[in-house]
Amino acid sequence: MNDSPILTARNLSIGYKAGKRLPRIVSESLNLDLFPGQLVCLLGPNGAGKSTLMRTLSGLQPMLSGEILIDHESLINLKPADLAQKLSLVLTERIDTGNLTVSELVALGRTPYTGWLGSLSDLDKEKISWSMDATDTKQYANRRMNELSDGERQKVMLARALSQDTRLILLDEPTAHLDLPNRVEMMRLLHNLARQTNKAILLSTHELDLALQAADKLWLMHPDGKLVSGVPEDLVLNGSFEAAFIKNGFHFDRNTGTFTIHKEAASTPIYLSGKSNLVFWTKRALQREDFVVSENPDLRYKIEISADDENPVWEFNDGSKTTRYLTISKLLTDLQQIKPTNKI
Amino acid sequence: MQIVSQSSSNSRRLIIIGLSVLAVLFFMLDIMLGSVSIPFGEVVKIVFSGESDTTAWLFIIEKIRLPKAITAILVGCGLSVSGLQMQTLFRNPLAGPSELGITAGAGLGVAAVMLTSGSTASIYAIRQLGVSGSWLIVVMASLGAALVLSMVLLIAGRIKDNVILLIVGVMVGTITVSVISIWQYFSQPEQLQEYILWTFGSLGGIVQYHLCVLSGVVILGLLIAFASSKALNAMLLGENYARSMGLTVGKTRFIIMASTSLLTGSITAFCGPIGFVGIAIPHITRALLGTSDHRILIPCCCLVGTVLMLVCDIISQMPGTQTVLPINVVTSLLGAPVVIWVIVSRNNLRSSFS
Repeated sequence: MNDSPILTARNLSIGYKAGKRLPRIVSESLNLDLFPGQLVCLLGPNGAGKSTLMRTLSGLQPMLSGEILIDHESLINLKPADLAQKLSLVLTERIDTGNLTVSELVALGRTPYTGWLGSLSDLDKEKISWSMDATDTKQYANRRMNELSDGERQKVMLARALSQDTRLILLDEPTAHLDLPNRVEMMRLLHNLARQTNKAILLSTHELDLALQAADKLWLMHPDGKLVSGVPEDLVLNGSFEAAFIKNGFHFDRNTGTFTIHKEAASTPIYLSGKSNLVFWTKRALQREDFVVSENPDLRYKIEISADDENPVWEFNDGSKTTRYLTISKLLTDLQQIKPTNKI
Repeated sequence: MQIVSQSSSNSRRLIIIGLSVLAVLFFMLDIMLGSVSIPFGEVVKIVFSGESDTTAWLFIIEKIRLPKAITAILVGCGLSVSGLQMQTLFRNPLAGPSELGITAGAGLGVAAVMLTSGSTASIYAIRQLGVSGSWLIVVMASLGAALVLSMVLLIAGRIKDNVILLIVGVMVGTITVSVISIWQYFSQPEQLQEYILWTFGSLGGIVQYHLCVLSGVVILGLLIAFASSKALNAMLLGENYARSMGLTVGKTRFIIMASTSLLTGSITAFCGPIGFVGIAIPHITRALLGTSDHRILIPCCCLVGTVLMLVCDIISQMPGTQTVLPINVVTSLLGAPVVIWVIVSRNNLRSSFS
């Protein structure tokens, strides 16, 4: 990471110009650096200005003030044709050009390099072939876009961006329409691409847990427009991560790196002990039922989980007697009795 | 695009050859058929050597049927390519010169010439105009077309909904037609009759320098369209992607609009508003060739347009009878079902654009 950054933003203000009135500033004094070989995830709650930032960085929307340097050249001074050789995009909008085959669409990525009629040279074909290999899309090269699933489509759009052969790739919510396996695959693909090709990849996403795992760096956008950047783990440990998504009835568990739905109602504390994976899943079930899991063994209610011959056994102690359960389902049914009655 | 599999490029070549053969065939048929029957051998002789024993036949072929067939080809090429460009520009399968009121705009331009010149002549009389007059008409009609096109683009350019664009286009077209109607209201009955004749559309009567002007402008428009086929391909992915691939979207849009306006304007000025050719032929061509690549689509639209316009012209002459149907009626009869097919087959609507 000794290279100089591909993208630099200094004192950047983003937002919308509203005629003669004062511009609506979404976020200001942003200082950002994007280094080659890095996968950076831009995270933030809805409405924090992720899309505005992505649009501004990609030159689709004018900045309000400050400056953006791409490869040491100011974004404002770059002609569209030159910018196209430095930065490529994958957008959220669904492309429905059904008559285009996959290879035709990927070939469109070579537009900045081809002549007036767009004929492909050998180098162009090589790049197209490489980017289809890299994204594993060659198998449907001759299929039409409307025959593909959303996951396949998104990989094709990534292949198109790759064939544009830019050092910087910006993706706006590339995982938005995908199911979990496809989301994971997409993130893995992007992570590997950043490492192998030394490209700088910036993507905005709502996939917090995936971003925590795959990103080299996070840009966290707070609802007030403040942006904090850093290595994911640092941001989790210093509380920035939690602060960005602060909302009632919602709790970030620093131990597991996941968000839990936390209810405000008065709840009964239960002590839980046993093997860690059993504790993890039992805890989830208990939390869903509004119990608070505590590490204090002096509580009235205790659950001890033991496992004999792979079969877990839950032993529930309510202070007077101990009951054994073989499934969480049965345990939860009985626990309903010690639940404080919900007053609505 | 060269990575197309061998079989599909082979079948594509076959289709193109077939279309070319059909184009030549119908061209000859169009010249041969008519109220006066001329033997096939004579037709070939007149077309290729320009000589015949019967001066009447020579006159009919050279002064009436040949110009009419050439006009049919120009109309078929021009309107279908302008429709194709509009469908890509708006990313909307329902866009077309007559559907979005562009032909009405061209009509307004023509009307404006007549109105400001203070001439008692009606639009229909443009065929009696001299060379300068025909240029003026073409320029005004193209400007009128460009005016309506930019208005539609301004209102509906950002709307992706197919139907809303169509409604906006129809509304703008209605406004334009209303303006023309106001002028009509203050016109003489005989002018009105001639105006109505113009709206039926006609491929005939465009001879000598008028034909030269029309050919020149249409060929210019087609060349601009073909030169922007790379940009049109990039526009398939939408403006944001096009811009990210190095296109200056404003400039591209201006060039496409210029080409569309020239094609629609000149053709409408001389032949009247001819409906459905512009919307139907791009769809037929796309379905036939199974591609969205404009470098193939533009020439092939010209071929399909040529074939179908010649067929329409043959039908309008009602072979074997003395009657001649207005060309607009024939194109609508053939074109409207295609539009219905496009709307009904939702898959088609979704897959071509939007």
